[in-house]
Amino acid sequence: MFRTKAGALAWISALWASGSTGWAEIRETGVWWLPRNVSNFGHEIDFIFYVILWLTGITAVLVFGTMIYFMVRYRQRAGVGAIHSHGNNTLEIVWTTIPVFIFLALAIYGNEMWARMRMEVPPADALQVAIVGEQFGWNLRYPGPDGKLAKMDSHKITKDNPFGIDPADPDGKDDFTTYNDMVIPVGKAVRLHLGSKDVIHSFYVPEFRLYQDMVPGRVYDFVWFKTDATGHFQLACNQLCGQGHYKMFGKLGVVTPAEYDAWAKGKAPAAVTTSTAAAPENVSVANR
Amino acid sequence: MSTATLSHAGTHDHHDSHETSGWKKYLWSLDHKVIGLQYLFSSLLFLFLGGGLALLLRWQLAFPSTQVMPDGAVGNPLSLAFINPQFYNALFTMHATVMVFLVVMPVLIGAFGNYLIPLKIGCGDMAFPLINELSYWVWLASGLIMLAGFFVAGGAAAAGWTAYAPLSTVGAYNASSTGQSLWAVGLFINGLASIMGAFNYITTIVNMRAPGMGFFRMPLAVWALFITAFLLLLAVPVLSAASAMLVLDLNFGTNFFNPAQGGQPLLWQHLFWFFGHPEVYIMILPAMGMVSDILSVNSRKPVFGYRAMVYAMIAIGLLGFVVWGHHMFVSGMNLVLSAAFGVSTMVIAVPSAIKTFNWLGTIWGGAIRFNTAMLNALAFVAMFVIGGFSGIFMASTPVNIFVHHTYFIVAHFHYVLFGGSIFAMFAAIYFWYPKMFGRLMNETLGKIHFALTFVFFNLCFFPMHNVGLGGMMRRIADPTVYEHLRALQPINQFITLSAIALGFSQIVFLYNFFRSLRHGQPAGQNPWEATTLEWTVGSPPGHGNFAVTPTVYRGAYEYSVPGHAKDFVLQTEPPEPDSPAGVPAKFRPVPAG
Amino acid sequence: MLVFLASEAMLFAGLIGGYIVLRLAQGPGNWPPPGAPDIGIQVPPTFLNWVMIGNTIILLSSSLTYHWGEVCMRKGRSGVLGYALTAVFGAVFLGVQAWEWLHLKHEGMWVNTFGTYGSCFFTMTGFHGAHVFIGWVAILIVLGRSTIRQMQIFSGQTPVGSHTCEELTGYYWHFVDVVWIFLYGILYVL
Ligand code: HEA
Ligand code: HEA
Ligand code: CUA
Ligand SMILES: [Cu+2]
Repeated sequence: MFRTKAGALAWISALWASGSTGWAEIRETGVWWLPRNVSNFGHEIDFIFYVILWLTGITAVLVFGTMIYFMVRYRQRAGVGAIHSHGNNTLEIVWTTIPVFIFLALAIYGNEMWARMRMEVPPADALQVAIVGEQFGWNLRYPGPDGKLAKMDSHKITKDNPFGIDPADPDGKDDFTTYNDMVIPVGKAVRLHLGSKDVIHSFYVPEFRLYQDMVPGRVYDFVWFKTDATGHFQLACNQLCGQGHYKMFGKLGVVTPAEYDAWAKGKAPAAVTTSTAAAPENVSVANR
Repeated sequence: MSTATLSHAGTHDHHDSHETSGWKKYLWSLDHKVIGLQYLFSSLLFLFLGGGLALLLRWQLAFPSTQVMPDGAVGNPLSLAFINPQFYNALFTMHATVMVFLVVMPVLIGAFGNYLIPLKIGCGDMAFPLINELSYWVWLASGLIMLAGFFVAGGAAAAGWTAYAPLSTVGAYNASSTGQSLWAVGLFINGLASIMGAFNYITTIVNMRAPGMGFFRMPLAVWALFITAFLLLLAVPVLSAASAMLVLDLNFGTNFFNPAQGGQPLLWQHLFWFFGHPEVYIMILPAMGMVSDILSVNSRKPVFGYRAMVYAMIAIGLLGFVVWGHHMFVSGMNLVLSAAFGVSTMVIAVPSAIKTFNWLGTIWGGAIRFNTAMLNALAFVAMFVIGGFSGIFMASTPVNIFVHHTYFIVAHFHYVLFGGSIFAMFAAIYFWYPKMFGRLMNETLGKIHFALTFVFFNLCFFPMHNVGLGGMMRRIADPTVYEHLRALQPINQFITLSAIALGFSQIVFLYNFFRSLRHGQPAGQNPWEATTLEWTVGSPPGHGNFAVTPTVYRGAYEYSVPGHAKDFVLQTEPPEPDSPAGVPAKFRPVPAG
Repeated sequence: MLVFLASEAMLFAGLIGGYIVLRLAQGPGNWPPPGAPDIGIQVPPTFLNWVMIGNTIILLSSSLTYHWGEVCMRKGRSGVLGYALTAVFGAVFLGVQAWEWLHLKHEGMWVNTFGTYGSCFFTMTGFHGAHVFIGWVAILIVLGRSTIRQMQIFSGQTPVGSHTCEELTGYYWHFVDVVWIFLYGILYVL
């Protein structure tokens, strides 16, 4: 049987013995809290997060304070009986209405943000990046010098044509691809075209406060964001996608525009081999 | 009263006459109390199994076997080599499956539902005793089928308890398709058992209440189980349909969820969560009901706002069917729909708020007895509130974009499921144990068990909020492959050690449980001085429960009624002789002077 | 029983909901997919259409004959004729259904062909067929009971005993019929 003291001792010794407490990597923020945020929408998400944190924090203090007070004040004592009360309708109405307003306000405010992040059309000058997940890695496709990305068609996605591109598409001639290597310029809007070759994967970068599933058979083009600081992060897959799910990640660099141009210049255009298929049917902001 | 003398044997002639004995009694008995105990014992066994799986997966997270050490060397002396990534996936899938379908549901609904409903509404047995017993065996079979996955090639199901298609439904993507099929077949059969049970409960509660037991005199535990039964009845068949499609897709070449052939992966998610969300309320409503009863008894006070509590539970039941999309905000489904689900999810928190405030109202002004059952019930309230609060974060659509599928969610549902359902289960066991076995459990050991569980539970699960916010994903076999998670590893190890301590604290409970069967202090008929019908008969109640069908004269919570010698009035106690039956005190003529 | 049927209804609601989603996702004009045998109603109706219309009528009349049997039974007669007709109709329905399956398979349509089209059709009719079969077995039991009653009447006794078994089977059988109306509507007509 574990007593508290023995338990505590066991931890300390085990932690010490494991020898893995001394990781050299240094997070840019404390381990107990949110990682730093480098994306525009992240600020809004963090803001709502803190609003709810304060709200629930205060409510928690009130609820637990009351509870503990009642537990002490009304503990059973000799000669002191309980009062007899079946309740109070005024109170019921009060504590139904107040939460209704709080929760509705939260929902409405949150959805306004949601609409701004997800339903507005991304800026026209955004850098378009196509990302297609597969078991277990990331295919990325960048526009070449013309700044245009070939059109993706979810029905054309096959093993050899991960992006579902029509080889005749002139926009695609100068596109280049990378594998597990994402680089974006800081300060510029980035619009993602997300797809998947096999099972559901998901685009997740905690420093961007961004998660989006990529369901096979569809292409999503409504996710966009703008970064406001450079840094090196990891692009993680955060949807269970099989045995190798846990190590499906890519490098993600947010660099200065000059560095980005230098990086992009060195990449050769990617040839496309395909088999033909049916009409396009993508999920876009316009025809969600 | 003529009704009081009406023999109950008249309605249940076929199985009242004989009492099966010995081992046979435990294998094939139609008595609802025995069936309840069968459920209780089997699911306690499964609790240890599910907990064991959890401890294994926790160990892997703290000391992963593929760990890259800082100096580049691979491996960790503390890692368990047999936990490869595929097995890890099977571990959390089966951990959740066992806990949800073989522990929480059968304990709260199977064991306590069966045991308490007939006793609390004053009848001799369930409406269909045969279906009842059948449901137990079907349930057990379903569990064994799902667990059989561990012994087939490829191992047990490993696509998560949510089994998202097409990972779960296309053999080429799925390394354990046999296990996955067994899982789906088991779930289908499990559904049959749930439906049989629900059918039985509803019929029993509607038709077999004792004379005078109006709906609004029923204890809240019965109300909760009643509402839960409706949820089961309407939600579970949808899961059955979905799991049938899964089996067909995986084995017979149908294409429901296969996008390559025009199927829709998101259809699976809609069907699963249409079941899945009502399911989480299925796992909390009975707990809420039983906790309400225990709080009232031990505060020596009526439940505060009895009707508000009932309406709140009905509201939870109804709203529970329209919020499933909150699991899919970022799944790529229609974005306007997401916003709508965000609103309905916020709204469903309101009835929970009502319940919380009424629980506080119940202990207000009481004379609180801090026995083990009460401590666990109070912990339930506190932990449920914490879990509910994290639910609010996730229900906010923008915040969900960040926290979805992180350990923040793992923290949320363990607070509501362990902190909620499991603490309620402990409360209920400590509370009704004397009724079930005629002896009290040891209070000192009970309090030690409670303290250890409470402390280690919080040490184990609270930091999960932090690692989740820190960006740790769920369902990853090895967090140390991610740069941004390596710094979190000490917290993960701390969580694991707390989990182990939490697991081993349960040994105190087991010891107490089995020791008290023989050595516990004899309980007598009504050790807690409670008012409801089960406390008017012997402990354990005899076959057929009530020698004479009881007549009910008042609500379930008459504690500390002014002017009474005792601080509780049994539901069967007739109105005072000087007042005409049924006339409330305030309408009675007031004596002059 | 009603409670139980509510739950059965949810099972079919799940299947039908899934069907609607899958079908809408195909977009207009793609259902049935090109090349698949069209089982939907044509003008003028094809042979297969006539067969399925006939089969639907047979299943619906079986509800009527069942009801007739029940009415007779309540009047103190045996109702054996009504029940027997129901059993025959039920068997015919199942037989025709099996024939249709084989026919379609012969035409190249099976659970794994034509994308979700075949999957939906066979799964939904399969689930329904299984329910009809269970109902049919119950009807055989009812038929047996009514035969005993008929013999009792024949030998001059008054038949006694409850009608619960007949009533419950009736509920179930009518339910299975109603489900078929829905399935027929969405699979063959719309
Ligand atoms: C018993 C089980 C249970 C219960 C009761 C709940 C209750 C709630 N849950 Fe939870 N949930 C789960 C079990 C449960 N959940 C599980 C298992 C999952 C994960 C499944 C998986 O993916 O594997 C999940 C996931 C989950 C998600 C999806 C997260 C994601 O994957 O992105 C969301 C999102 O909205 C959510 C929300 C809520 C809300 C709003 C409540 C509310 O009902 C809570 C309401 C309660 C309170 C709010 C506290 C009391 C109220 C007050 C004291 C009033 C005052 C309060 C304020 C003013 C703030 N839950
Ligand atoms: C009622 C439900 C319930 C309960 C009680 C628990 C209890 C526990 N859970 Fe679980 N859990 C879920 C439901 C539940 N869980 C669900 C639904 C998921 C989601 C799965 C998914 O993603 O698909 C999940 C996932 C989940 C994860 C995330 C895995 C991942 O995403 O990678 C983790 C990680 O820490 C975890 C840990 C624990 C721990 C430490 C306990 C502890 O409380 C357990 C304490 C232990 C015991 C009570 C048993 C004691 C046993 C012994 C002392 C004997 C030892 C025996 C042997 C070695 C055989 N659970
Ligand atoms: Cu891809 Cu997880
Ligand atoms: Cu939910």
